[in-house]
Amino acid sequence: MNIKLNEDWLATLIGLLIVAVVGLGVLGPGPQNVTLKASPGEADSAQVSPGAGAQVSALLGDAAVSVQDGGEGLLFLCEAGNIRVTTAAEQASRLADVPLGEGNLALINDCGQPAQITYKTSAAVRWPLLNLFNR
Amino acid sequence: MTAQTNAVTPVRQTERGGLLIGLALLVALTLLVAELDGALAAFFRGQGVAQNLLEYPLTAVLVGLAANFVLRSLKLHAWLKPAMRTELFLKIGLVLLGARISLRDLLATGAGGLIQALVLVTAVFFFTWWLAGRFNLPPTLKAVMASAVSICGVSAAIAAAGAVQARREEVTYISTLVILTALPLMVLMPFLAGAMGLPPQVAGAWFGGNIDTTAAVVGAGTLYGPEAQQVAAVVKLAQNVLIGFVAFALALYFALRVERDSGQRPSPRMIWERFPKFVLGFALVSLLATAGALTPPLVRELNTATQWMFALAFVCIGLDFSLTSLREAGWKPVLVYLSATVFNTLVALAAAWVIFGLAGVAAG
Repeated sequence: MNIKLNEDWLATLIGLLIVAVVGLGVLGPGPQNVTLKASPGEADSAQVSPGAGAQVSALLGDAAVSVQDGGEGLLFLCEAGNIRVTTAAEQASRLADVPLGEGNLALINDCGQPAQITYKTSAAVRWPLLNLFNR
Repeated sequence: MTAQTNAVTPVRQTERGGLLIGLALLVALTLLVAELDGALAAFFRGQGVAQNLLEYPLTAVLVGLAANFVLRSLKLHAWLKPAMRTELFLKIGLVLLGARISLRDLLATGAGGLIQALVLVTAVFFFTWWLAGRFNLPPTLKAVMASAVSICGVSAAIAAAGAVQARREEVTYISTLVILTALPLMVLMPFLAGAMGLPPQVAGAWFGGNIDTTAAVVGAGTLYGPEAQQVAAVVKLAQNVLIGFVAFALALYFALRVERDSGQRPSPRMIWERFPKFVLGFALVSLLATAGALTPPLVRELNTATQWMFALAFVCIGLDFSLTSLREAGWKPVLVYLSATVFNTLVALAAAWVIFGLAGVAAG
């Protein structure tokens, strides 16, 4: 069977397909919304698909706190009343005794109150090739 | 299987081979454009200029022209022609462009942009139409040119071309003129605005109302300052909204008037056949944006997808360029286009001055 589509309809179809693929995250990890909670001296972790432009919000006790360097790293440390991104090296040297679990997103709570972070990414597929014109 | 089918199959296979290799070549050339664009942006940053003054459409056309020369020298141009689908890439880009056209955002950013867009598009469209008529340009070229000058360059030209069933050469011709005039205007207008001491709001509205490509509008605004950039983008956005309405009006006009003059009986079916259906895709994506279904990161990603489609199309314009067809069209369309651009420049300045200066209507 030979189906011939008018160019206008073909363009519409391809355009809407791109919107669906990029918008619904068909090719990517899709939208993510993961919350980690850790009591003082403990850690929590979960598996996420790292995505540029992720938003991280945090609670210390019941109060919202800002996350230092949020959105770039996946290992978070609560220390001296602040929640910040830490490195694997720092975690290995200082916090090796805290069991992190299997996930790549982790929160280590070295504060005196319960800590919580929420990691969010949108559904949009971030395709590095597409962003070549935005450098 | 008949002998005739046997004869046709190798031809189809050759065409398919040309299409696939041509598409691969197009993607490779567009990647080259992206690399050059990044290198140029880095060069300008090194010179203390935040904006890449040589926009990617121009880079893409130049890369396409260079490849055009090589392919013609190697006698491969005709074989790869099936992949040069300028209109298809532009139409896909236009559907995606709908993501940036949120009526809610537009209304929230102020009435100034909408008022100016309506005044300018009407005045410039009819002036160009009239002038092109005086020079006896064909109705299809008149429609494509008037839409390009008055609304938003290549995108509007494509939408209008679909509505009036213009020839491919006419679209390529107008697209080349749009790109060639946008670049000097992007640099010249901020300089003139500075010399005239225009306030940022007025300058931004002037850039947005006059320069034909969205990228060049943002570029000119950036050169003048953040406030001018914001107003320029809003005014341009307001003009872009009118693409669909103008395409529909043109389809209606050509079906009811031009075709009737040529003896054809107008009918709803004829209007529907003329109507550029991809405008429906554009409207649907725009409705999604208006309904808030498209998040800001998604709009950003779709914007880069639009740029890719437009870059592919501009490479095709360079690849498809033929000096012969330009010579055949003569100097009249160039003269009309340049005169319409000058008219647009003056009317846009007056409208920006009255709406954003004297009346003090806010754009953002």
